[in-house]
Amino acid sequence: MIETFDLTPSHVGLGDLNEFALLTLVANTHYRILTQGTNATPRRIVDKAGEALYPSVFALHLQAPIRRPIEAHVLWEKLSVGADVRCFGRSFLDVRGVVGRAGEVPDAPEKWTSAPLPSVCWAGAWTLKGEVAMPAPPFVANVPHAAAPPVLLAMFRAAQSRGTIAEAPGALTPSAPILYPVVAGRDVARGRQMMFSQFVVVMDHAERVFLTERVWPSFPCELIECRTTLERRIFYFGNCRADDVVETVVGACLEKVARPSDEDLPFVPGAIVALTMALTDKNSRRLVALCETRKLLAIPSNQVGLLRDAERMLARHGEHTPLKELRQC
Amino acid sequence: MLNIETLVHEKVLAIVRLRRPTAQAVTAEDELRNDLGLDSLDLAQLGAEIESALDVPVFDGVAVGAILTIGDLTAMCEETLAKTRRVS
Repeated sequence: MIETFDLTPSHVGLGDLNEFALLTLVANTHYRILTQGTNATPRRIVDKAGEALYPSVFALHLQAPIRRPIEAHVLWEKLSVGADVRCFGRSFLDVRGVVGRAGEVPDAPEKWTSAPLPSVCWAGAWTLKGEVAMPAPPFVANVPHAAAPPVLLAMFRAAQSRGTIAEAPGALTPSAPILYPVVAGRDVARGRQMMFSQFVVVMDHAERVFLTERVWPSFPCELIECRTTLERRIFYFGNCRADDVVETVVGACLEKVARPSDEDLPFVPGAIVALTMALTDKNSRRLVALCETRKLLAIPSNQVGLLRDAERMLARHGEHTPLKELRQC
Repeated sequence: MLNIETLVHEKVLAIVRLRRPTAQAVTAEDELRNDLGLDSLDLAQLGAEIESALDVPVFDGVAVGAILTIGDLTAMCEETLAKTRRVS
């Protein structure tokens, strides 16, 4: 399913497209696939006993090509959002999504991950009180079937058993926890759990605090504003509600990045920040999520002075060397 | 002739090996949750794998998570298949 609409302030405020909005927009389209032909809203999908089910996300992988950062999609742009959902059994959901300018999204979902556009895939399942559940017929009867479970499910189990993400670079030095109080109305609706896309906001907060306040020398705030996500993997093991406090432990290192030969990029690539994060519920000590992210410091062409800051950060912190907190220096 | 017991044991062992790759074998008496440590995610995948292999909706009446042992699971599959054959 491909939907085309204006990117408006109701999606992104007065900013441009961001990770949170991208994930939420793909989720919106995937909800329409899940309910098509049923006359039901997602909240009306129930199991055999009539209990309302929720389509939970277990593992997510987002990618954005360097030539098409997520933020390249600007306010008021005519945006196309594609979503494709396959059911394995009656519980598992294998979801793919993509965003592009109107007319850019290929019709065939198989081409989305190789298209030069921001894309995401996630493995999910219908759940009830944290347990995987099964919608009663006729729900999801119209959703195409998959022959095998979502590929990300195996990675989810591996990450769950290890407590780390195998692909994460090296043994990063974990930071002291960075706290994020979950606030009703801002992060979550009272009485409900946090939406999977909101975790990106929590992670971005921890990342910002770590880079601008914890490491030494710290990253200038203007340089931090230049970050754009190239890749993110999240494994969700739990969730949060209003008044919970999330503790995030961050590890990070810098990588040099080659300047593409293209002359038409509106920015100069400064460096890549590779991060891993572990999110824990402060009160229960439950592991809530693991994440790894690669972000590009994309220096706007009219602010090349910031390139010196990026070079200085690489010179002081080194490449592929864990960033150290001030207390460790 | 499809041997249901063999199929169920193979499917269960495959799911167990997702968590414990060195697992050798399972028995009819093994409890899915208590002995094999399967959680609701594993059990849902097991149910989907079995339904896909048998091409019948085995778990319409009873969720796979409510089944205690592998023997119970085998019996349920055999019963569902027998009902399906009678209807057809």
